[in-house]
Amino acid sequence: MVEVNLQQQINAQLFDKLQLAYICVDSSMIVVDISDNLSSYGYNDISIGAKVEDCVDFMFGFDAQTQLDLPMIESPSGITIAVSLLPSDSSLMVLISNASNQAEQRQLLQQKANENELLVERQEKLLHQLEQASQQLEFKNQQLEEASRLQTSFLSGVSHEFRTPLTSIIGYTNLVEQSLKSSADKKGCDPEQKAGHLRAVQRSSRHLLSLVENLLDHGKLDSDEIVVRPKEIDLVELFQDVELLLKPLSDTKHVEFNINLDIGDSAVVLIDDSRLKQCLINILGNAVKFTDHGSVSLTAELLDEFLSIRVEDTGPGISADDLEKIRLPFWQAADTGKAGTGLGLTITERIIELLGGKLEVSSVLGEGTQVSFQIPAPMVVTHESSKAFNSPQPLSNMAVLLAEDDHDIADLMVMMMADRGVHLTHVENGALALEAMRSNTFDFVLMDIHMPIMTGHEVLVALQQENNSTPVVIMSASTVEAGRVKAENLGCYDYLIKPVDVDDVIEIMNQVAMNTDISHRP
Amino acid sequence: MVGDFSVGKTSLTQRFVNNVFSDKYLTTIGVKIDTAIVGDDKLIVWDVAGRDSLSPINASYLVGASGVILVADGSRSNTASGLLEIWQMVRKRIGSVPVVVALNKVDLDGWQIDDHSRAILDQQGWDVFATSAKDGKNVEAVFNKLVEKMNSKDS
Amino acid sequence: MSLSESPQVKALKERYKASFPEKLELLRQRREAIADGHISSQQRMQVNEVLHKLAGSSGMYGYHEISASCREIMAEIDVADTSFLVPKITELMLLIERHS
Repeated sequence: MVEVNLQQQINAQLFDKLQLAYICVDSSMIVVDISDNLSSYGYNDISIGAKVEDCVDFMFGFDAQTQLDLPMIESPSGITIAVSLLPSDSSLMVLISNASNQAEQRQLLQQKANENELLVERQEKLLHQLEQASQQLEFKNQQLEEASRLQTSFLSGVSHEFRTPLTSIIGYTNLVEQSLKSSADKKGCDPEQKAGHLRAVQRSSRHLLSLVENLLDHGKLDSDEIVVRPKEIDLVELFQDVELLLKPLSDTKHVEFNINLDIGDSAVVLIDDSRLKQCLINILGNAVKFTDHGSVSLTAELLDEFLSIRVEDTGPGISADDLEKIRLPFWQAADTGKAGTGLGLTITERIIELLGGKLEVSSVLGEGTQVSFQIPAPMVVTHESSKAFNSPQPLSNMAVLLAEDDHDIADLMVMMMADRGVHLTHVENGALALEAMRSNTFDFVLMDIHMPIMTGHEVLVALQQENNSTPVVIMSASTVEAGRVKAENLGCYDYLIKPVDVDDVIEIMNQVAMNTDISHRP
Repeated sequence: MVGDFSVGKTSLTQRFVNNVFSDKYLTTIGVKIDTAIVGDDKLIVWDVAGRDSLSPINASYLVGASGVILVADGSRSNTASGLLEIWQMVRKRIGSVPVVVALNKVDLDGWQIDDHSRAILDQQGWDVFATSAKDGKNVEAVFNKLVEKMNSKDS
Repeated sequence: MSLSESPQVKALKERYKASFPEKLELLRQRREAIADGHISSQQRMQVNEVLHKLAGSSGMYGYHEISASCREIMAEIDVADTSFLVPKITELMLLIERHS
């Protein structure tokens, strides 16, 4: 009896101290016995005979044979408990004890450890990002350096280009000065000769001017913004220019300069002459510069609409190793003792590419150098008097219609175009314009938008429907962008804002003339 | 809900069960148990403490589970690759129960799950969801999918 | 490239300048019509038409100030009230008178 009491007392104490609680369930998981302190853990609704999983959420999923230790579960009261499942033959004992002390300690420890590790991870991430950023910076830096180098090399190259024609100008004006000084003794005062020198000066000046013009639309060295402007060029004249430009240089060095042309008598081709000259002068200039004895010869051949150029010199030649490097900007052979920026060839190569060719360099050390390239040079059907800048001759063969309802404007335009050799047929509204275009073939139409009967837009629509592809240039007084877009969508060739500059119209007509063959018009 | 520490197990559970979210990180110790009703089903969610430097996942908490959500933090790629190992452990303890994967924290910049990592997860045949407990994205979807899979396994 | 003007072009320019009084009269009429403070959308269109023609031709004949002044008014023609338009038209008329 006493022992039972003692046992009970010990039990009671144990329970109190450890705040032990228990639930006893049978083999079907029905509650058969519970301790009376379960409510302190927040388990209030456990009643004998109920299914344990309905009253104790963590019991779902277990059966009467489950033996398990669940060290830390949060009880409904918020106290962390330790749960042990102890199965026996016919029942399962669920023991619950207060684990809040361990929980608290664990919480602190775990929180700190995890936060630390997150910090370390974050740090690693940041370091990695830093590394990447630093690499990118490095790369950007290199790019910037490269760009800066290119820019410098470009500027140097440009001034390099200027030197040759300038030297030529100085040379020729010198000659004129000399000849003027000695005019007193009537020796060598041939006016024809002086005129020739001055013409040479003019040519060099014009070349300089076109270089400056090119500069204006010259972007980066390898950007596609460099514009090649093919013009109708007389090749014979071009090579004469080149020869005259280079003569003073070669004469000074006592180096023979030969030009061999196999291009026919009057070869007029469509080519960007200032670019071509730039390349020729650069290559020839280099050849003369590096050749101290012997000769520099230029051979030009025009065959099947391709211009082949070859420059040979008897200079020191280039070693096989250096051959690869000469095209790099800034590079110069170490021991030539020659002044220069080492850039001309880079630019030249690029320009030749743009002209449609490829620069080839071959050389043997001690035996001279050969530079060659081939560019397309389409032939041009020559007009007898087509030497002028904006020759009106071809345009005077064009049938042009003007549709404009304002007589002040129309009369002036007719007159100003007549001054430039272009005959305008004038109608004063859209309907008349359409009629005229149906019964005649016009090469070019200038049309106002705001006209009575039929507007310019309506005419464009009708033309589209009738598959009439005559180029129509719209003149509009409105600067609203939508108007331009609308007109362009309706197929207009170009769009001009009033007041219209007659020279702009001429330029557009030239474009149209180039694209259509009007040479057989009566 | 199992996965590495601080991947968002508790946040996903709280978002799903109580529709709340807190930015504060409070590590879960042991397991927290929540209940939610999904359609006709009652879902008892065991939000188990994550695997960390102090201890691995206590497999005892997995016993009796009818399904598992593997959770990873999409901005920490190691937690995603870690899922393979965790799944091995789950399988060993309770077998191949229905499983879905939540790649959490998709709202953050610095998502580290690339196509390669994703392929590794897909190879397991898992349904993978990019979730955000913060804005709720795909939270219901991932739980619903698991319920769907658990129900179809029964039938 | 500038060509010296042919005598015909010169004559046209004289003729245009001589048409200024006519254009002034037209502007005066349009201004009278809206002087009472009311302007209908049809009237707006009419004023716009006159300005449009004037802007185009004056520009072509080199009277860029006049052309610009017309465009200024045209930009506001849809929304401006007569307290803006009447003085502006007067300004334009004075400008034309100066060049006549």
